[in-house]
Amino acid sequence: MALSRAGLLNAIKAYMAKRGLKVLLPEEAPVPGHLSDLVDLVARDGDNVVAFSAFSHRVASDPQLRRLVNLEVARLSKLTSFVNKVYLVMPVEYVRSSVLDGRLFEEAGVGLMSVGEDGAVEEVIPARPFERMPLLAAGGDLERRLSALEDRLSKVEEAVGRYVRELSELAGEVRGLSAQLSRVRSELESLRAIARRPAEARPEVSVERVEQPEAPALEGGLPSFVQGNPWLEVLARRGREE
Amino acid sequence: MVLVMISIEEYRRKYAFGEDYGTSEYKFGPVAERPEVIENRGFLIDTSSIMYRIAGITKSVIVGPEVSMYLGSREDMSRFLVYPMRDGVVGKGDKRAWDVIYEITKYGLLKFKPSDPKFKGFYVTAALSAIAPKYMYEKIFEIHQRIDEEHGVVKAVTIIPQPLAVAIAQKTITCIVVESGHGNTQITPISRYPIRGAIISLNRGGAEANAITAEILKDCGYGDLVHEEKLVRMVKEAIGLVPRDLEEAIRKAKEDKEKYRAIFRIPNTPTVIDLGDNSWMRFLIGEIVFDPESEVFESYYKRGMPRPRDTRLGDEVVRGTINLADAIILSAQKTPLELQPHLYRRIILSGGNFAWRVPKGFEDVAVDAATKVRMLLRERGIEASVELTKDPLYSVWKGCIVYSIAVPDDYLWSWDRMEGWYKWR
Repeated sequence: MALSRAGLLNAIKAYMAKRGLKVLLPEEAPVPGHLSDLVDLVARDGDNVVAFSAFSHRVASDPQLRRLVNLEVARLSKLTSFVNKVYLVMPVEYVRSSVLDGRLFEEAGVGLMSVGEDGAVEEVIPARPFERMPLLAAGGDLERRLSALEDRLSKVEEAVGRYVRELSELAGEVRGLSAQLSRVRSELESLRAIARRPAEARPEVSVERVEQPEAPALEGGLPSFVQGNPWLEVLARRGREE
Repeated sequence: MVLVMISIEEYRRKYAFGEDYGTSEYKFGPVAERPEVIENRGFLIDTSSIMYRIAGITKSVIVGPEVSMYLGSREDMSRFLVYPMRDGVVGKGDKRAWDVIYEITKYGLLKFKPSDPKFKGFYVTAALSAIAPKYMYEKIFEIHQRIDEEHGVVKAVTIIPQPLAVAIAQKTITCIVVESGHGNTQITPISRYPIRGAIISLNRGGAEANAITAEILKDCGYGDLVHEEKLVRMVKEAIGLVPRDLEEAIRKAKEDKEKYRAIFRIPNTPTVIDLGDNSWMRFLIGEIVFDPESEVFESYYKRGMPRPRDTRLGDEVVRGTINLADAIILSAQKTPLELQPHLYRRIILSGGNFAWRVPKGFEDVAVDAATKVRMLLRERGIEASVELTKDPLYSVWKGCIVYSIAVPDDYLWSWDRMEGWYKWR
């Protein structure tokens, strides 16, 4: 026979006491009013705030139970913005692979605890920890945050203005470069036309071959600790010096 | 003069990857000025529950920043939180520790997996402690191969000792690297290669300075505080000093008690630790790192403070309490005679156990680690140039990146040389 809601909560309270979790009063719990019905117990575990919801519905069939559990997990996922961990607490006889969809729990981040007839509590699926969103506090705090946001907004506006100016300067430079490119193209065309003339028509030009030093391609764009590091040469010879 | 041009494949330059497996932190990442850092630890989810019988639950080890969110009670921490390395070494049969190393390595590689269709895997250089046994090399290779088979992110992997990586990051080809962490101190002479036969590993490090700090706190009436290891470390860092000359420093501290008085307020608490007339003891904290054989420590050993264990170097036994300068000389003597002066020309100190500061006005009695080692060597007739690593936190990782970029692709791993790229595809 499945445990009652009170039975489930008593077992969870005993579990929390054993692990040193501190039960929070409803007014201490950082859960907004419209979601408070979803929670049966809230506790503090180290830095984390953990919420527990007892599932004690009586059901006629596994498919019905499965639907109810999925619905409950979906509802509990709303709490993940306000507490660090959320657990659904169920009687152990409901914890069957034909009933539970572990992937849904994992995706929603909701954990599962089972409670046996003897009150033994087991963490079946660990809850995924979430960052808590603080509830909006008093008006003064709100005003302070709004004014901070305004400051940040004006900084963003300034930065955007600066980028717009820089972009228009860049656009001017690109236009200048484009004009230069057209000139280079026309000069190249005229040089090609000269090259196509018969050889005797061209003056003799002596070309001195200049050996271009091969640039050490390795250095460009690499962090400072790589640049000029004598080990590059030492290590590059590994396997070639025996 | 022959100018050697270095030609590096564009691919290796782009996809070089460094991994520094430190005892407390894992530093990793591709070519950049700085690596990513996570704690070298993992939270194991209890697999004995029926969780595994329920479809869809796959994660059993949590690593990275998420770990702290899983920590509820102290009981959880001791049962499920695993720090896989002890003084840089992972036990051969320690499955939980190797599971964490696998997850941490996978976390690092997947974090930087590029979307480039030309990407065929990273060239990974991993750095391990100089005293890491061969099975650790085998396991690290096996882990990278497994991750590559699962995710296609490793083209080749190699392993180098951490002191070699430090020398590379310091751009020094011939030197002695002295690396001192929490539990041990490794002295590694390097001349293009680490000279493995001359490596000395001493079973002592920051833990000894912590131990003497705890004894001093007990002697001064703060015995109730010594069970908090973190607190003892904070006290050590706040009041510990390395004496220029121990006897002289003690004499001066006893003469001018107010100037040398050691007072430490524990942050965010009303507790204040005041060594009062015993403030001269602050010099013992730094001295033990360099000379734990000093007579002044005998009374502490007799009262139960652990004496650093002896270590073996071939057939020779090296005392755990050997003076650090004597240990450096012993290591150098294992190298060819003509190399020794070149080694002394550059001694590099690396690791948190050498981060000692000299407060303003204390310059006549206290010194930094490099000066202390230089003075100890001079007392033994050796003029040496000693320096601290410029970037103690990241130098090992930086050395790994240079190694990945520079070592030729066709230089394959050899268990005789303990070098080269280990490949499987």
